[in-house]
Amino acid sequence: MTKAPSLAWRVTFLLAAAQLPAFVLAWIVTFVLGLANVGGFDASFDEMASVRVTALVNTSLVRGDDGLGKIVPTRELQAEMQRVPGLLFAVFDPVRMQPLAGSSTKLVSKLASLAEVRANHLHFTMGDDPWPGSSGHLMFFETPIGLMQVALYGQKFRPEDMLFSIWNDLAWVSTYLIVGMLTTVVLAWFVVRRGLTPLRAVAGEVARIDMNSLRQRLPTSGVPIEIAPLVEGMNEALMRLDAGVERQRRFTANAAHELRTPLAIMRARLENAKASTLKSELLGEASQLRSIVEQMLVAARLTEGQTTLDQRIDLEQSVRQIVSNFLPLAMDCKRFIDFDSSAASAIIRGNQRAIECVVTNLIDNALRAEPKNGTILVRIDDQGVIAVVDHGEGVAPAIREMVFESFWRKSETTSGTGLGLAIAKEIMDAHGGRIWVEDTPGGGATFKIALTLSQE
Amino acid sequence: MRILLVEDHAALACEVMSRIERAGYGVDRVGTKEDAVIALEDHAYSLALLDRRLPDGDGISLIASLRKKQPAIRILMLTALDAIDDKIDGLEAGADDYLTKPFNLDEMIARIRAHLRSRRGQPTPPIELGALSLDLDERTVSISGRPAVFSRSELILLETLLRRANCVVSREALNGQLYGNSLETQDHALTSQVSRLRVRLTQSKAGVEIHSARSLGYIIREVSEEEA
Repeated sequence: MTKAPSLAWRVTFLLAAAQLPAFVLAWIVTFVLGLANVGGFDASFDEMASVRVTALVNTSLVRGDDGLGKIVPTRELQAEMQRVPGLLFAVFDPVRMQPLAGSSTKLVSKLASLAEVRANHLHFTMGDDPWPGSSGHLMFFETPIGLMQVALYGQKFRPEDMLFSIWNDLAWVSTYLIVGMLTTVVLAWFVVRRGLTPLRAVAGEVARIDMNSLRQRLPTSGVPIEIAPLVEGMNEALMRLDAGVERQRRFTANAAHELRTPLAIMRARLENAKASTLKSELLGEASQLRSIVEQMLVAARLTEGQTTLDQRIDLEQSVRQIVSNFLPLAMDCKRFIDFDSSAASAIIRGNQRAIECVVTNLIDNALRAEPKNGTILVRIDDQGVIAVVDHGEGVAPAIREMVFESFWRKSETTSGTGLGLAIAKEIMDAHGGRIWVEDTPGGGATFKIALTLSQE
Repeated sequence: MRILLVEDHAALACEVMSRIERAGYGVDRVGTKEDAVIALEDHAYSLALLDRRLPDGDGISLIASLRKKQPAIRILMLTALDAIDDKIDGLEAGADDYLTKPFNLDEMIARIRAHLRSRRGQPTPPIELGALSLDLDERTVSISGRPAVFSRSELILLETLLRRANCVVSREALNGQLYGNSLETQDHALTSQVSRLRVRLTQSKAGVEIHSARSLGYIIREVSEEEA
């Protein structure tokens, strides 16, 4: 799965970046409104030229030998003066409150008194020019010869003035812009993360879902409406899965149930047959088949929650009974079973049939693993740990975990011998018990199950 | 002594019947509750083997009419216990015993024998195993057709084991039969009694062998051809 970059990061970045085009757009709108003289806005193309022309004037300022500033038009300013015959400019020294040499006399005569009050910023028109207008301009500038009041009038627009003007305005509002961007970044990040929190909660729930918890649904409370369809969709998918799994389990249970009768008939026929090696062997196989079928049935019932886990079970008595029932079959197959109990009483709570199935399966496996004329040992200690000891080939350490691999997750490639053990583990899990395998000293496998004894 | 088998699966019923017949009992089989009621009108039965899942209903509902018609009848339920209905106990409904399907036929015979103790006028079929034959009514043993004499305690042991031939008999059960339940356990005595019986059976070529299963009890079985 290729992951798209973080949503929070993208939203934050885009919102912050959007401030710039928004500014440009706002600038254009303001300018258009100004041209139309709407709502107090006031603008003209020629006014835009003031940024560029002021800069031309500023670079033309030099200090003469007498230490006084004067305007010596640069080549660029001269070119501009030729292009715009009506261009007037004047520069006042705020310290001496006197115009600099080279200033337009017309401007000087009109603005001299304003220079004396060191007017900070002034827009003006003169003569027949339309008013109110903002073409004329008087303002302080940091020039090569210090802070000066620079006045400009009659400048004319050139297309590049648009850029100069917008850049100038941008510099003016840069503080607002940067603070706005930072605020957006922080807020967007916070809001997006916050908005996605319920999604993370849902993800946590989803991660916990397995075959046995399909019945649960994902929480929809607090989930933003944008994400709600996803969660609802998943809940519907869960519902369909649940129904599918339910069908599958019912099938397993029914199949197992159907298998019992032919198995019972087969066994009865075998028992009535004349004694032979084949008969003993087939009885062994039938017993194994039967225990798997019973286990499947019990496991299906347990996962369906159709059966109680709260029966009082005397483990010692149950295991003793199972071993007694197995002994004739084992002897037919030229094996023997020893039973050893050091448990005075081992009472647990659980499902009697399920626990018996597990023990039966372990004994079945042990009898098959045990060499001919060998004796397997079934032992129950006072902690309620049941051990089934054989002297066969044992279970290689590498596959010790694998033999108990979950019934429902088992891949088809794993060997079929483990099915019983996988179900045994399911059953033990349902009882909060454990099942594991150890080496038998001297060779072979020792399967153990541990259940919590109830305090009586 | 006749046994009524109420079981709808023909193939399974056939095997059960043949095993019961080999044990020396007469057996009739019906497949439905309705037929069972008709059979009860015609014959007296000592014991009924009653399946629970019948085409016309749960076998449990037959118990009452069985008891009403033939009060002395013993009832053995055959229950295909499912994790769902394992709480419904056939015993609560008035059965004398129950076997969980699929059951071992030797175990079934042992249970039948346990419930069919000798009664006047009704001969009990002898138990045969290997070359051994035990007449339960006369309490006599014959080996290969020739009478064999056993002491009283040997006979008790032999009978107790043979009644559950091929099945494990617990030490408690044997002690109970030999010494009565009231006495203290006589484990050591039991062990030596069994070994004496074992020797006698071997000497007299009875074709049976008593195996001891540690802490479980004993089991009597025919000597297999390989061992013989």
